[in-house]
Amino acid sequence: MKTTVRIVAFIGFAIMIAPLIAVIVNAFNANVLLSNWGGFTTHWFTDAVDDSGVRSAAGQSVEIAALVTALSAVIGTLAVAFNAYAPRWVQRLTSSLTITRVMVPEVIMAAGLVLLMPKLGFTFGIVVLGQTVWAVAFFIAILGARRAGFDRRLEDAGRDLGASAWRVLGTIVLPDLLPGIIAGALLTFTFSFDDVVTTVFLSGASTMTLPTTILARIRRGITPEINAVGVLVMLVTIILLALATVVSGQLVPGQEGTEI
Amino acid sequence: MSTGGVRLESATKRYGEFTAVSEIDLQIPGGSYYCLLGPSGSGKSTILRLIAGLETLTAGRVLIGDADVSTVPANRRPVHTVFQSYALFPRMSVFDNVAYGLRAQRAGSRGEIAARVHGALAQVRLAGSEDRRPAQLSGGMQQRVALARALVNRPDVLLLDEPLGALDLKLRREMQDELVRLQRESETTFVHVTHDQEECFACASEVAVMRLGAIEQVGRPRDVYRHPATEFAAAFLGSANILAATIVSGRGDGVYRVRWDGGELDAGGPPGLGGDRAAALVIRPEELEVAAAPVDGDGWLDGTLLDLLEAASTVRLRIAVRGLQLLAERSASDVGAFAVGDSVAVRVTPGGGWLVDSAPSATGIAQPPSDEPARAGGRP
Repeated sequence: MKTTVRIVAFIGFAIMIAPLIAVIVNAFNANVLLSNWGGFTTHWFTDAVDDSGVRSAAGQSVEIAALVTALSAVIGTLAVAFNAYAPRWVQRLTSSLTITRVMVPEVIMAAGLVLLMPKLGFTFGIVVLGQTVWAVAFFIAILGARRAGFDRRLEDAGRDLGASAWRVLGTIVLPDLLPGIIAGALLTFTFSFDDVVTTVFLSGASTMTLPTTILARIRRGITPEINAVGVLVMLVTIILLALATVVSGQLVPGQEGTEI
Repeated sequence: MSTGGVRLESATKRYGEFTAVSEIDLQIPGGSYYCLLGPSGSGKSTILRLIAGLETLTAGRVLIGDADVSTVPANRRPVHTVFQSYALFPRMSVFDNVAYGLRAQRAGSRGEIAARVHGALAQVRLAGSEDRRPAQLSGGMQQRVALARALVNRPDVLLLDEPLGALDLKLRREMQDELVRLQRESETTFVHVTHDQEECFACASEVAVMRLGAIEQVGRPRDVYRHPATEFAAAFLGSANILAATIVSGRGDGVYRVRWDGGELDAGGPPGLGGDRAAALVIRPEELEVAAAPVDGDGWLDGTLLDLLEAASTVRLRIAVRGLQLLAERSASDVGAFAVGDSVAVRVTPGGGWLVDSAPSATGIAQPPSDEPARAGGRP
């Protein structure tokens, strides 16, 4: 029994990381055709960094991800902070809408956005807005969990002591939410940075991000350079995820003071 | 000069179908130490939140001093709250906690605020703890910070929601004295919510006994204890033997001839109960005399000692008498002669009975009505 479980777990894990291993190994493969191992090289990384198409795509990706993250963080934080004051039915409605947006296949969301935005043309701004529509849902889902654990009596205490709703938000609620906001922002950044579907639907040919560039080039055949780009993207994602984990884990709510 | 009082007029609070507070009229005199006493679910905390403005009334009015504040938001009402388990801001130092209200209301320059914070902390004997975090303080110290945080703003009314519930007994007794001292010094109206009748006796100049969202009785604790208006008030404020009885006749001066399972006696009661009808006879445990051997005399009843519960200075005796169980309380020095299972004699002290109007369903056991948690213990 125990061994069977272990074997199944091992196979499952192997299947999960096999594609990543393949990309990483081939990023260092000197054989252009990638048909077999041609020796170790870092040549493809220099190629990738020197490639103007890759560089501009990377720039686009960072710009879009930064804007999407900023928008999501502001909208999401306000939504989470104030949703708690809304009547119960509003809270239930907004939380099911948020979950729906997280669950509904991105293709459908993207198709819907295309329908809504034909007149506006396919531009950089539309990509940012389109990604924000679903990125903010992820952000709210992440931050909402932290808000739900917040001791509401502290807000009562703030109000009771004469602070306005905004002051209570700024001095009591936001300081407590801050680690969640940072973690949520880092995750939102990786979601946006990796996004293909919404970007492809809304950008046409004019806005090329790193993932859409990889996709476009893979159609013409996988090159070692693409693998190198893939490894770089992976690195960025892993670093951001690690940061998010550290931030949200380290600054766990200051509940030590409110214990009874 | 003491601060203004609080008045509730037909105050009602409903949450959907549930009525937490039902058409309450309450007058809390300015400068008094007022206690709202009741079991959980009686609506006492809701009343506090209505006065604070943290809940809005479904119907009725709240007045503080002479001003109708029914629609004034919490942050503009001249009241402050000491919350149950304190709700101190965990990320702020003690100083910042206490300064919070002054800063929010821009109550002065930095220097003035600092002076008032230090003053308030000195008043609750916490000078020197300014830089500590709430989590670094003991429960009693957190309680004092919560008091200072509210009092430093010089509210007209200080609301205390089960303020001592989280403290151990010794500390609770100390804090009771401290609260009374602070109330006198600050000449502020205190409204103190509790389910602990002992706290109520120790602190309050006036008490409202609450039950199921309504006020059962209002008065000085001692008066409510001696002359309860209902079975519930009798059982909740102190312990009581509540016995089914019949009023034989009324003399018109608040004294009635009463027949109960133990015979006949004279008992006090509210005027106008009339004669020849059922009522409940309330006998406080200390109004039962107990003798170690059967006594052949007027009013003495034979019984068996079922149980003996010793406290420091008193002892409680549970005695079976004519199919009833009676609870008696005597001084501990009287008790050497008793042993469980002994035959004893019991008598109601002359004038030791009190009548309340009631349905004739009382069973003769010292128990509060069944829809509320039993709290027969504790010494008034």
